[in-house]
Amino acid sequence: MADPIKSTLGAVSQWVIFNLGSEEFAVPAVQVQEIVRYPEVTHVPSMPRFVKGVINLRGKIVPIMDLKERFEIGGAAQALGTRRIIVALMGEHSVGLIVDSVTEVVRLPPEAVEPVPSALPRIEAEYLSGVGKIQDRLVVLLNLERLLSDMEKKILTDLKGASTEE
Amino acid sequence: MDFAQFKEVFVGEAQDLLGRVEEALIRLEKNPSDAKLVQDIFRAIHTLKGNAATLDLKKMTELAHGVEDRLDAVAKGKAEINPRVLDALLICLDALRALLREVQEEKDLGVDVREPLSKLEKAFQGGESPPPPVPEKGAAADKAPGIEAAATASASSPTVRVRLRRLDNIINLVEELAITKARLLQQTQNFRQGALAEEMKVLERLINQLQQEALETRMVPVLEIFTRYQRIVRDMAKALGKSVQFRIEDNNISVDRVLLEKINEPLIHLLRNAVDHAIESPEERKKLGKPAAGSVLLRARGEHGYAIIEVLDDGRGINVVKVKEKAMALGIIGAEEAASMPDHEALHLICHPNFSTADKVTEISGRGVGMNVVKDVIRTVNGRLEIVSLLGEGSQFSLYLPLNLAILQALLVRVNQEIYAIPLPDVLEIVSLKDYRPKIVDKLPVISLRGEILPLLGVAAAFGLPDESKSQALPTGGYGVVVRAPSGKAVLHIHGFVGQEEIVVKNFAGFLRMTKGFSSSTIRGDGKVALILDVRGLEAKRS
Repeated sequence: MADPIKSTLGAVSQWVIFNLGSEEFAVPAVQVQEIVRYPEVTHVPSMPRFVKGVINLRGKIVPIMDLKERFEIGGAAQALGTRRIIVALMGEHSVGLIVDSVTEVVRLPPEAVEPVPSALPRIEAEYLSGVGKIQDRLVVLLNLERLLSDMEKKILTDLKGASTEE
Repeated sequence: MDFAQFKEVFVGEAQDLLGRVEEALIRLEKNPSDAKLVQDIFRAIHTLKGNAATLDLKKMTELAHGVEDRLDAVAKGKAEINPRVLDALLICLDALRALLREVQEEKDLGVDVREPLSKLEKAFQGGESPPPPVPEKGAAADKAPGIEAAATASASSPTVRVRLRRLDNIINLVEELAITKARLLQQTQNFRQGALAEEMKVLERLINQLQQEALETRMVPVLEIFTRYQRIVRDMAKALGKSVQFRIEDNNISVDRVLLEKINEPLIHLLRNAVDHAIESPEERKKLGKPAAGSVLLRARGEHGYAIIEVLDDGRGINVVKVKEKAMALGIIGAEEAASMPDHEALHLICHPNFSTADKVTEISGRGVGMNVVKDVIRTVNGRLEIVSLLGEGSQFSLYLPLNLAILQALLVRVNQEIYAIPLPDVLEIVSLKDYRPKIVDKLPVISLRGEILPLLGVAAAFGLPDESKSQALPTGGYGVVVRAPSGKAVLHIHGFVGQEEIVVKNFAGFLRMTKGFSSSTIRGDGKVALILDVRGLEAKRS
């Protein structure tokens, strides 16, 4: 098991870069426990659409969520077998984030990180830590903690809403 | 000395010591002249003082020293134990606990050491006449023989302190090992022969034993936890002016420690209710022709697959008519529903979040958890609550808890293409729908089983699964699993069977716990996750 998050955000930060559709995103490497292939998934009823179900990660039950659906990024559906799951910590528990592919791990010096541009489509600016510049590529850097805690909030309100409707 | 490194060890040991002191003090109350008990308390406090001094915890050292000093005088015959002294000693114990919390939380909670010490001093000087002693002293002296036995047992068998997290890690790993073993056996069954077959057999046996042992490590005798309730019941009875004889029957039951900790609060609430609401005042009891001292029994017993923990009292009993009236007034149930509701079901109304039977809210029952929390907690551990009450004669609250949180006998069934597990204790019987043709009664599908009309529930509809069969026609094939739901028997319609298996329960964490109908899952031999149907969740869906 990966070590729990130690805040090592120093001058140079490490990021795991992945694709959702044609766009490039990144999450802090220290928060990533591991990256796995898309396994067999057991569907869990009454969850919001972006929660795809649970998987068995070496004996641990881990819920997995589709980031593309969460961010409402369209594009051709990719074969499940080629997708990857980034396992990260949400509070004390692990969650899996489904992405199209994981490309690389990069080190970004402070000067390569720019603040969040004012107008970014679809993704709320509060989920972003900034934009990383790697040569001529622009990578959206995600604030994983905020993103995950917001997803959890959304799931809980969805579940509560569903139960009061009954 | 590095404080942080030793803090955890110190706190754990101190908790043990203070627990022992408390138990001995309660027993001392019944046998004030028992010199051995005084010795036990003295030794525990002495050890605590030494440990506290090593870590330079000045307040705790001072208080422990003061108590030790006084106990020494008692041991030497220069002073004696009386009810006032016992009260003062309990106050000192509480102060020591508060100081321990200061250590744990690493902040100053402003615990005062002088006051308990001066109270102790005054209690020993006596002078004024002591307050009336707790009644029924003699009668209670011969009770609770189990405590005696446990005390001697724990003294003789050596133990080590292990962090729960480490234990859990071991159990998790062993579970994975067992799953891998199952997979390996499955995959190699065709070319396993000769020496390899032998070795595999040995390996299988060893892993099974290891799994059993690993699970046992978390099991503790219920008595270890039960003894702490003596103090709680004693204090409550005293505060409320009730005379209560509290007994413990443990029947040598052991339960998963995590489970015991979880039901701690519910048990305290049940005991509080018994002392506060159920047991009448001594005068009232005399008028009713009952013994002056009310009796409260905390009992543990075993029944296939379950540990049953019960709180029994011989008090007022619950007035079902009043419960129904109140539930109607609160809008929990309608008049029609109330009229047709059987008593055993109506008793569960007191667990409704909006319900409280207390006509007057006393200081004691105003705190703590409500009956709804009691029921919720029991549900989260896959247990169930049963209530029996006779007006004027007493009540019995039974907590049915799975003996082991981790392993469950389950029926694996197929619904559409998915496989689900139903805990075997919930399954009453299985019928083929070819033999028992479903009918429609009052717009709902039912089957008639030996004269009993039971609702037939589609698993998909009942548990919110994706329903592939869009047609509303009556199911003709498949099977019906008769289950024990909280609202009575029900029949689940399933498409096929996989078999009966011993499964390892993996509880959901985080937001997954919020799902309705499933509280946990298991990992199958092929590594895939299967959800465990929570039959108790059916109640909410149907009503």
